Amino acid sequence: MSRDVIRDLVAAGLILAVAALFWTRQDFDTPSDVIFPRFVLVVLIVLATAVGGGALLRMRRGASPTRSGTPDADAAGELPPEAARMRDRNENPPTAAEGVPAGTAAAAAEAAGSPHASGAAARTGAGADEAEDGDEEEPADSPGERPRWALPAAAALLLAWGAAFGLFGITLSGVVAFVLAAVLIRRGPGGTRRLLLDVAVALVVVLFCWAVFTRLLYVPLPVSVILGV
Amino acid sequence: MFPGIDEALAQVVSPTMLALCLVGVIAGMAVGATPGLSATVGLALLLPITFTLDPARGLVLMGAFYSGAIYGGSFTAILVNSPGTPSSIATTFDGYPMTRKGRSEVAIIAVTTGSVVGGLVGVVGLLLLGPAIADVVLAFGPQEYFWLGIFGLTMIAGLAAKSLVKGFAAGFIGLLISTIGIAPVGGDVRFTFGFTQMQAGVPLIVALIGFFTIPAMIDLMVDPGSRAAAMRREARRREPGLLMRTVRDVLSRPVNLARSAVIGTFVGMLPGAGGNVANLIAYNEAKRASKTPEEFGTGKVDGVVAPETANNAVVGGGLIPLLTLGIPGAPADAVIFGVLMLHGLRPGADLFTEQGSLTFTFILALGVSALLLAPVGLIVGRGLQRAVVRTPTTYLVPAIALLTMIGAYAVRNNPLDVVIMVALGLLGYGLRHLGLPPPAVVLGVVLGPIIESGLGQGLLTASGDAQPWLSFFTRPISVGIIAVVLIALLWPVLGRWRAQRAARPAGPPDGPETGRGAEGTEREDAR
Repeated sequence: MSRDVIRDLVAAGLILAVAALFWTRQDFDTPSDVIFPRFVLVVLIVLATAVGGGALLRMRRGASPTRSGTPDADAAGELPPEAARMRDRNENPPTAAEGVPAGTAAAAAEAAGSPHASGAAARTGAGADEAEDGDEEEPADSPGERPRWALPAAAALLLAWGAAFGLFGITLSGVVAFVLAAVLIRRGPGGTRRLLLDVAVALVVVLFCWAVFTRLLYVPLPVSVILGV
Repeated sequence: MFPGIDEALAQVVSPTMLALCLVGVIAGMAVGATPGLSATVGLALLLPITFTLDPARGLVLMGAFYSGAIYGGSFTAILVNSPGTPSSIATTFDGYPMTRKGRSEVAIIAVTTGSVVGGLVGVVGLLLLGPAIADVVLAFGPQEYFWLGIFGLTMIAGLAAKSLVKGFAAGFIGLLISTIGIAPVGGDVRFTFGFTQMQAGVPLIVALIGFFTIPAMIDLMVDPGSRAAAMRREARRREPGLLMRTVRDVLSRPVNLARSAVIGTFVGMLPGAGGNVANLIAYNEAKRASKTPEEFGTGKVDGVVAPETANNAVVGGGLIPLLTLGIPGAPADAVIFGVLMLHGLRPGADLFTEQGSLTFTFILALGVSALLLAPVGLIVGRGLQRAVVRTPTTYLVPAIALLTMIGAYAVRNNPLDVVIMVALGLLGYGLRHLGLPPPAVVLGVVLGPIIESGLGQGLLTASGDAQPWLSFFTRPISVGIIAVVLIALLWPVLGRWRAQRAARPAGPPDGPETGRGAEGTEREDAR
């Protein structure tokens, strides 16, 4: 089963799950309020079915017609080089606008288990166009620096920061999460001096933001119960 | 024709007024560049200060602040993929890719040029066409707003290059998110999952910070090296003459500027639409009209110029119904309406005759503020851009993340919004990897309330008819918008047909010759 088929099946499953979750929560009955959400839910179910059905059909045919940028397709000569290049540029833009930024290619390469491919894919965002512009590709700071734990760690950190923001206030949650984020990006504490510098920068940034928002803009930021500020 | 305009002109060029314009533009830019603080919030914060000023100065300060805030929203959209205001949603589509390619300075210069042009066109529209066009705006009923929202949805065809079905699925997820909370027509509480704080729904700002900024933050946390490479490219690209070259480049395509400015002025006039809709429509139209639409989304200058020209034109356009009819075109205009009322000024045709000096001082000051965007924006904007480029990823990412948390919280002073913002961001990150474009989700969140209100109110107003649904298809303006919707939907098909025709003699009949061809073939597959 190709990666695209799996991806489409997961997407279809997710959309159906979301639609089902909302469908069971339709505990309102005013006609004018029912029409629109129900129409949206029905269309979502239809679209999910189309995405999933299309994936299953492709699986049955045994080949993926989506041009998802598998190197094998190019190698097999399915597309002329110019078309393949245009296709790559269309499908791996470095932006969320197209929905598939560099991260996707990087993740795909990572999933394929190739650290070199991953590093190259990580730069795809700029790479395709840069190559066209005649610019040489810049190497990443630290090749192969995309450990598997980085994504879940980043997601967990942001979620914890979001939850702690209301519980512990901007100061405590802000300083701790700021330092943790810096350590995560650096892939380690980097020594005591670095860590102290991180804490100092975090304190300055957090207190500056706190002062601007509470004193200048009169936005009452959540208070840290523990520190009393 | 313009009673009191000479007096107004003399007043506007006085040092005090120019200083107020300058202060307003700078303060507005600072607020606009802060994710979570929209122009409306900034104007509301500024409101008490205007109590101490005379009406002319208060209005000039508000107008300058409004212009600055709308423009400032583009900075963070370009530099960190976080639209400072909802009016800069589409600016992220090509702005952030430009930053990733080390071309953020070009993007900043381009949006500054577009913003100045857009701001000036909006003011000229307000000055010359305002009273005449205001009558057309009054003819817009719920049915027309419904179709306007549907027209906005056609933009998904442009956002979803890989699969139209998935693009629409993402858009409908956004529409579903927009239904959370109290229904706009009947008042039923929907999909709150037991959280009373959710009754007001998911704020647009929270959604767009989440869907745009959080995935970008995660990308940078997971792969900090990619940004370092882009910043090195940026430093290497810095070259003398970049400013004038970029300005010339932008001005060399006047059609894009004019089209976007007209869209911004017109959409700004429609109550409830505003810059968040205008920038999306302008981006879509720029892409549709482009000879190289496949380059949009990969860091194309026209892709940042169009939305920023449009959203700055909204400033002047939105004031047309406000000053002529007393109907605010956008939430920010409602705050300015408040200032007018506080000083005992009644909007309407009389405002231009009996209070001509004051009204034209305000309008001309908007033009001066638009012009001030160029020097101030180029100094402050490029300064900010260089500061962001020089800041190490280690500190930039946590600082931006902190600002997004505060921004999400500040919308309603609700800690739950911060959690929702992060959760939506993680959802957006996941959806992106599944091929469901997050910008389409945001588009759904933006357009959902417009479509649903139009639908519900349209059915209610036509409830006396035998077939209320028919009212959506029989009103003249509705029919016009439906025609535009059909053209928008058929345009990609037409483009693909033209590309295939053009490619036929040159290459093999079934091989995709161009990006557009490839894209089109995919859409066909998706269908």
